[in-house]
Amino acid sequence: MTVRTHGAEPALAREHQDRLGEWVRAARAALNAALAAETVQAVVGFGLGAWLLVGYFGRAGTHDAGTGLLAVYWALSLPMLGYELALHVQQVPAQRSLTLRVVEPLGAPEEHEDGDGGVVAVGQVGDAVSIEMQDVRVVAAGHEILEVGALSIHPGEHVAIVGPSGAGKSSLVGLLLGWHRPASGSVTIDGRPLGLAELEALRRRTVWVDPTVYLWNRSLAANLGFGLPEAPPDLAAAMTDADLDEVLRRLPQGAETSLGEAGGLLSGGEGQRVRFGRGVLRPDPGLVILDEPFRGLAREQRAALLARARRRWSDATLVCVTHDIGETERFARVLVVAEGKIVEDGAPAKLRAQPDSRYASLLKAEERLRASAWSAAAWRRVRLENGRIKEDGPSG
Amino acid sequence: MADAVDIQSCLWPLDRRDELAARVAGAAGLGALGPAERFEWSYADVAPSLGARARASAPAVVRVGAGAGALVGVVGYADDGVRLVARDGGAVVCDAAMLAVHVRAPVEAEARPGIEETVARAGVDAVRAAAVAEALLRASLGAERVAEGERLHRARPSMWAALKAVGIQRRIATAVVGYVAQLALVAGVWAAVGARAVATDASGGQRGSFGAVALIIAALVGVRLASSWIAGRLAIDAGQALRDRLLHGLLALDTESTRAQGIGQLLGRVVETEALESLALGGGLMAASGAFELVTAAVILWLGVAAAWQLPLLGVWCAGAALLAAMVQRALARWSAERVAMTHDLVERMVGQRTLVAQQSAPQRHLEEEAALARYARTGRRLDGAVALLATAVPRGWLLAAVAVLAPWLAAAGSRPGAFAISLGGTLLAYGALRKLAQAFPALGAAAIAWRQVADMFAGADQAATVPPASAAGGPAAAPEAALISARDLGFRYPGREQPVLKDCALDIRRGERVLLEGPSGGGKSTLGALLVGLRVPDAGRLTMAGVDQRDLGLARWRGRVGAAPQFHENHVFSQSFLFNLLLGRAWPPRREDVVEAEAILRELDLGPLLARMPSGLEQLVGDSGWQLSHGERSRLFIARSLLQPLDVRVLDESFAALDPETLEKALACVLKRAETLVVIAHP
Repeated sequence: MTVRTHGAEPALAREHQDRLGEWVRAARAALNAALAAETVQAVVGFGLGAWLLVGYFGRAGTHDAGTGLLAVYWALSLPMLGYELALHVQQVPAQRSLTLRVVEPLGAPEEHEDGDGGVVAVGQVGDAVSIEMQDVRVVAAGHEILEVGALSIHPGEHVAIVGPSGAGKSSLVGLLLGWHRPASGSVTIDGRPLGLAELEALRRRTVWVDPTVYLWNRSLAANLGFGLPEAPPDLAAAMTDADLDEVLRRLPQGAETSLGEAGGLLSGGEGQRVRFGRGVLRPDPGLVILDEPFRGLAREQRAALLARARRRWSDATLVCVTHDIGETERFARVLVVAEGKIVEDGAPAKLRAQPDSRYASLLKAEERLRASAWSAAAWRRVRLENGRIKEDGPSG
Repeated sequence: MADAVDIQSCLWPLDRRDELAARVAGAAGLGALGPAERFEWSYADVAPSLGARARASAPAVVRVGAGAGALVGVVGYADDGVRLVARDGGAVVCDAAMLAVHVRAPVEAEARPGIEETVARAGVDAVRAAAVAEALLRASLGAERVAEGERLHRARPSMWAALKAVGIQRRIATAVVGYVAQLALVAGVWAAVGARAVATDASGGQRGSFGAVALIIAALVGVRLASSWIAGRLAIDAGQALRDRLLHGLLALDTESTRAQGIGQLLGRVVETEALESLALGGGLMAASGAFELVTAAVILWLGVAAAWQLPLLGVWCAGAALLAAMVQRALARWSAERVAMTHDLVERMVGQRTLVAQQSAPQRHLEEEAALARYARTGRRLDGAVALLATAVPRGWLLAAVAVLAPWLAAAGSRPGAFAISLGGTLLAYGALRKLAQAFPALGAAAIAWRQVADMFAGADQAATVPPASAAGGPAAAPEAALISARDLGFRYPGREQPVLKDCALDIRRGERVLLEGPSGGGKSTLGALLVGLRVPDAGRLTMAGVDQRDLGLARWRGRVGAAPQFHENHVFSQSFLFNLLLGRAWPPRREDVVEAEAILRELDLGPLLARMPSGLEQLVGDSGWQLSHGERSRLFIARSLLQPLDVRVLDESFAALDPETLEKALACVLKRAETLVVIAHP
């Protein structure tokens, strides 16, 4: 679809042609090699057969017709058998490379290599986690993408994370999800260093809402209940909490409707609500990670759902990465991440008061956007609701 | 040397575009036409004369001239001349330089007086004044668009035509001839040796007959090698044709089916084509030769001593084999279904691996897999049993039964050794034939199953080959006040849903307007965007561009003027260089000016630091297995991609949702500066 909307068919076709040409050349070379081998084999095989026959018939004395026929039969058949054998041997390189390709994932490093193997009880279920990071450096593809000197999040604290795009905000929460292992320094959860076993236990107590969370090609109910040991007891309440009731009304088979591969049959905002609903159904989390959780929804709905989420998980440790800077003013603590470092850390009111803080400039940029950029007379505002268009006319 | 008058006689009005295209195609020997390729000429391409790049786009229909302009049908180039189609239908040769002058004239007309005055005031001597003026004109106007056109391509041939072009008929015939020759030679060997062996005279022509046998064997080897080579080349060429169509079929797949299936199933189907190729070819050749041998064996048995018994036995055995083959096919179909379902699941788990790991506990992960594996093993066991029966019981059973039937004649063998030997030979030949057929049928069956998976992709390629003819002009230049895109009573309903998502929508977009499309999530904004861009076709209502209905203009031309940056999760970063991902909608391989503009846009979008960080800069491989871009960086890549595409109207679907306010300001400023007519879907 991307290709078609950008008219990129010719570009792709050209790349494809090049690859195809290489494939053809390689296949022809392989064919020639195989034929050369076959020629050698045929010459040798039949040559030997002929030599044997000449030797047999050349010997003086009468020859029994039957034995003679038999000799000829085998003299002709053996090279044929050798030919068939050679054919099968020729398949070996292709089969070998296919097998190696298929088996390759088995060689990937396992997550559960070290550690005791048993489940590590990291705090009680329902307890909020405490997070400590000390001298942590995250390196990816040879580049340092994040550096955290010292960070301490207390149990039950709600922390907002803001910052310019590409700064490393998602990498920071990625440390808590296990996508990154620190190249140096330590990450400590509830007083224990975050090893593989602890990570597995932490994931069981974590709610993660992010646009990159995958929606499966299964029913809405299965997607909402994904990861739970049994079917969720109260699906309807969760759907109401996640503003999914109107989505449910639109689906032809209700909660049993398949969502398409990667949730393709839903719009962006609907998909985000399903991801939120999945998080809502998890019982008693200790850690809640929200990374742009309500992208694709209108501003008021984003604010309402965030408030609902914070009320619901008021006891857990909550980390929220967002671009709605105004919303973060309600948090008790805000981290500003820029160029791979935490540059500001404190109460939003205090940061806002400092005139040259990044937080203040981000807030000002947001206000400018809302006040002028999006409201400028240059825009003609059109509203699409319930399938009908309503023009608001050019605003000013 | 033709003069300027001829150019005028070659100008066609805009509404006779199709007629002109047909004449150009006829003159250029193209036959049926496929989708055309859009291109543009800039001033630099036509000054001082038609440059190499301009010459490369032929045969073509080019729109030149000021305002709406007129059409010129270019058939081809030869030295200094260019073949054009005159209004009376015939082909004439014009001077290429004259055509270039005509094409440049409107753009030059404004700038030339000023530049010539500047040159005169600068006191350049008259000898060089003309050259200096030309150089200045080129420097200042170089990138201006002077003409646009469509390059005409031959229609993509149907699947069989493509294979025929590859020479498949010839090769199959040669393979058959080679095979028959092999059989004849083998028969010859046996005849010669057999006669020699039963002859009691063991002297005389011994050397001679052995020489004949040796010669026949050498010929046999040669023919066999030649057959192998032909079969191998046949496989390669057919495989190339198959893969080529596969790409075009994929590109032509309709949006709805890709949305419902996604990457897992599509990848699975691509893998099927590999199997299809080897199975169809190998199985086909073996089945053909096996059938041939079987018929020959029947003939030989008829000539033999126990024909009345052995022939019916052969008939019964073949019937039994056919029944077993049907059983094998059923088991194969069931097993394949399990295998394909497992592939889909596997790919889905690979793509959603992080979610799997983060949200599902380890013991749970394997429950579903184990059930699927158990089913797979069960159906696999049944298949193996059926195939084993077919491959062993049928040929060897035949051998036993046929020889048993022959036993009563053994006693009489001494009196008629020849006929007996013939019966024996026929039995052996039938045995070989049944063995081959028993091997070939499962392969052919698997190929048939694989074909069912991929058939619609090849059908898609055939459909894309036939372009609906446009009955109206293609390059409208609308008056500024008139609507550029007009939508009336638009309605759209997703298949499978009861309620339509859009009802009676009316919208006019004028040139230079910036539309901000808002509304609740799920309200149909992206759907409306898709309709405007031509990715989906409305169920009801009408879409026009500068007064021309979309159905008359054709989707290909519509999409050439209106484009979108799809939503984040629907857009894709290809596993190629960063530069490819930027310019794929504009020109590939890129020209110098494309790269320069791409870099300028990247700096305005604040992606300069990213470029500095990536070790290979613009050549850095991105995508799933390359440099990982953050959400904001990826969003800006998609915006840049759309800005670099030459379009009249752009639809940006939630392109700013992943940006922080400061970056958003810069990106918005860049977009407003560079996009003339814009529709932005956002939740600001």
